[in-house]
Amino acid sequence: MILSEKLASIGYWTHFVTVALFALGLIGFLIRRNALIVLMSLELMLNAVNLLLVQISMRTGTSEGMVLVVFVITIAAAEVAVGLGIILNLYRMKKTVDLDSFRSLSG
Amino acid sequence: MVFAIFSVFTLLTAAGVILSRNVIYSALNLVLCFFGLATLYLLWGATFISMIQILIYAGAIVVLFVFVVMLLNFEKPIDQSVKLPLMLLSGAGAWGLAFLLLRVLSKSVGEIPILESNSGASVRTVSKLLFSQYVWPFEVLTIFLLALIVGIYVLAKPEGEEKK
Amino acid sequence: MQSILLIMMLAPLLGAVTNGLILRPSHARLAGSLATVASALSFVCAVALFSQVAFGDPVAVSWPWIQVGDLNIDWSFRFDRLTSVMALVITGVGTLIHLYSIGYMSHEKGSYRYFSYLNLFVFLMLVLVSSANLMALFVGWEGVGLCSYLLIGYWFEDPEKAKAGMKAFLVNRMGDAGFLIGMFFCYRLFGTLEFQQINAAIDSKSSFDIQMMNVAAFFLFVGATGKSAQVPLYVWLPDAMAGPTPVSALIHAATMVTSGIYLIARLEPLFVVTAQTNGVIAIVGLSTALLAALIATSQKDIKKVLAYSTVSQLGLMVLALGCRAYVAALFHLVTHAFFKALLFLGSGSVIHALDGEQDITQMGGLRKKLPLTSLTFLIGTVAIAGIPPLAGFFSKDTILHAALVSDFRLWLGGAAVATLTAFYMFRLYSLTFLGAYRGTAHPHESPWVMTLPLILLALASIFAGFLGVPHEFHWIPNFFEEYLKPVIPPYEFEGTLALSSGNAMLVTTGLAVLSSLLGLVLFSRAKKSDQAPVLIRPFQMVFSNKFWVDELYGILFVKPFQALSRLMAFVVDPKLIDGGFLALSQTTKRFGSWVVLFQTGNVQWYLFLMMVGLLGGMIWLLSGRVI
Repeated sequence: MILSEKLASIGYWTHFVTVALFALGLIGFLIRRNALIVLMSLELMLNAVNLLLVQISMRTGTSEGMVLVVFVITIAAAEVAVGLGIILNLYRMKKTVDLDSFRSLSG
Repeated sequence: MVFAIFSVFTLLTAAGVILSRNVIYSALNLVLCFFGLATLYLLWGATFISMIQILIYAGAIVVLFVFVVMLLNFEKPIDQSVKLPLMLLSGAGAWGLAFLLLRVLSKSVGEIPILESNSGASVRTVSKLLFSQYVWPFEVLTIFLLALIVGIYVLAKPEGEEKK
Repeated sequence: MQSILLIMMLAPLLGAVTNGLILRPSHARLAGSLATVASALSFVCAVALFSQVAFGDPVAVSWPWIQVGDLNIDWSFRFDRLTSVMALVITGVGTLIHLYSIGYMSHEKGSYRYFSYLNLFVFLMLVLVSSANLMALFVGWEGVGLCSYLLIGYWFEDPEKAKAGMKAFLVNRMGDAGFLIGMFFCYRLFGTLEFQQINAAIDSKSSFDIQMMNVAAFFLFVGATGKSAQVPLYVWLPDAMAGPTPVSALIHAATMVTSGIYLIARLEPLFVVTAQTNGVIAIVGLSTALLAALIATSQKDIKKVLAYSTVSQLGLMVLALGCRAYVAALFHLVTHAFFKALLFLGSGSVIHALDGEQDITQMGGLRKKLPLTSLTFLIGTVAIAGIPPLAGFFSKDTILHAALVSDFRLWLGGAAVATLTAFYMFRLYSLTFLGAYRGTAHPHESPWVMTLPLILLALASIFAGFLGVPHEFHWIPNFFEEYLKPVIPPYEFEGTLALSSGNAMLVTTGLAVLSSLLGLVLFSRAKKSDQAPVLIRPFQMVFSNKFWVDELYGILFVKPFQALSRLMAFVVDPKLIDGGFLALSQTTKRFGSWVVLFQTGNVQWYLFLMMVGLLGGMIWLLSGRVI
């Protein structure tokens, strides 16, 4: 692609984006009490990984990274579906999705 | 340049996901983030992946999220008070981790020059690989998805329904 | 012949086992007869073996036992002439005492236990005298100490009697510690514990470190001190009178206490050359003899007088050992076994007749009521006083002669002991049998099972002396010395005598007769209200309180040790040791309670922890590798 030559001078910026995206996702996971938002931040982390995989694939010129990305996306979708199912069940039990109120496994 | 703009956009929307008070706002921020990412993939030339990203992530996953948000009643914002120490610690920890990862990546992966003849990103090459070398994980994945569907049905079954 | 040796030793063991494990109180009458038969069988075997070694070679058996590296110790037994002397005494006197016990213990419920222990004792004593090395001897040594404890504490329901048994065992144990150290030194010196090898090595004049030999001999003597009731470990023997009288007769007069004498005699080559230790031995023996004789003059319990008399006579035997007169000591051992057993059994007869009375101030005039007992007791008394021609005269005189040759002062001390012996023994006889009866019971003569042994022992006390006539009467050969010559060569006495031996004998005999008469006259008409003359009273108080030795030991050793035990039991054990373990478990519990705080049940918290862990791991991995 024509634009790709321009990217050669960017250097480590792309790494920073990846890592920052991951960190944001991690913070969101740890901070928020709403289960849905927690799931969303989980998706953010997965996307950061996808980004990294694509980068590496582009660097080495092989397509294996892309294949892995396909798998990751698929499984992420599946996992979101299941997670939402679980959240629905939790809501049925306690009428809330506040994660702090689910402590029955403590001790 | 363009790359910088879009990457900043992605990061801002990601911050928006985790910082919004309203759940729906978070969901919308998520969509925008995904779009930003797809653009990034395009800028790199990974066409196949960017399409997949939009189709599945933006098109299916966020839709699911929105469904559930609509299903559940959020009269009042749940997040009343998040303890400050926890926030600081998590932030510090996460950013520290990020820093370290950055270090590792910069040493190991190094710069990302784009190769001249890069046909590795097209649909053709990817699908070629997918159906020859990685056909086995591909098929397993389909079975996995089947199991998943059954599991989700069991999970989300309405209450009081008799076993069929 | 070897099988006969084994039968001799195992017969009493079998009796002990049968009595102890198979018979029950309902079979009490059977127990005594069984035990006596076993003992008699042993005696017959001993006689057979005696005839073998008198005319032929010793009999030996051995089995391998300890084989560790260079250390080789066997269960080896060797019946030679010295062993034969001891075995005949043990089994002969032992059988008589078994017979006597049938009568004495006829009122006891648990007599099967008694006879079992008695048989066991005979077995272990035979092991002691038949063993051919120090280790097997030590097994018998410890074993008889155990039987002594069991038998002294036979009436264990009485705490005083039980304590007496324990005292005997513990004091013995202290001596045994010395024995063990002596054994270690012997092994270090000679590389073996076998008597034949040790004795042969020393006889062949190989150069051994004389200092170390002195030390080894000294420690072995310490062991003998414990067993043979010498100063300072004699205190158990008077207390041991808490046991039944036949036990006192057998164990504390005739056999167990003589183990120490036997041990030293057996290792004669070692002890002959250790001059320093011999000096110690002689002094210890003499002081024991004197101390005990003095105490005996004021005792009121018939058995206690005899107990201190035993200690005193043992002191004389040890004195002889110190003067290198091993044969003399052994001969006195034999004659003493006869008349002391006789005296003890006689006293038992008296006690039995008076239904348990042991205080001689409550006795008197029993000569008419118990004629047989009285006569045999008189014979025993005359024998022990050293009045010719009874047995005690010959054996005691041989010892005094040896003392005279070594050191005049030793002879003086020995003469004093002999004089005192005669005095207190006749005091005992007079107070018990002469005069008028001061007590309240109805005395009756004892049954034949008890008087027959008395008669036999009295005969032995009269005639046994002629076996070992001293050299002064050179027209009668000394059979005893001749018999033991192959095992123990007679020591060549050197030096000039301060007093000619003939004169010395006259002096001691005269003194003995005089003090006997004194004792007889002073106490023959004693009444309950009699008091000692004022001048003597302070002495009497010191003697009758046994010089307060027991109390001294109590303050010096017993009380501190008990305090230490209390400290351990109530402070160290609960607080330190239990506390230590508790602290460990408490720590684990506290750690666990702390760890539980991490289980909040909150998923985000878990992820936070994961992040922390990941962070830590990454930092650790990256430090020094990737800058």
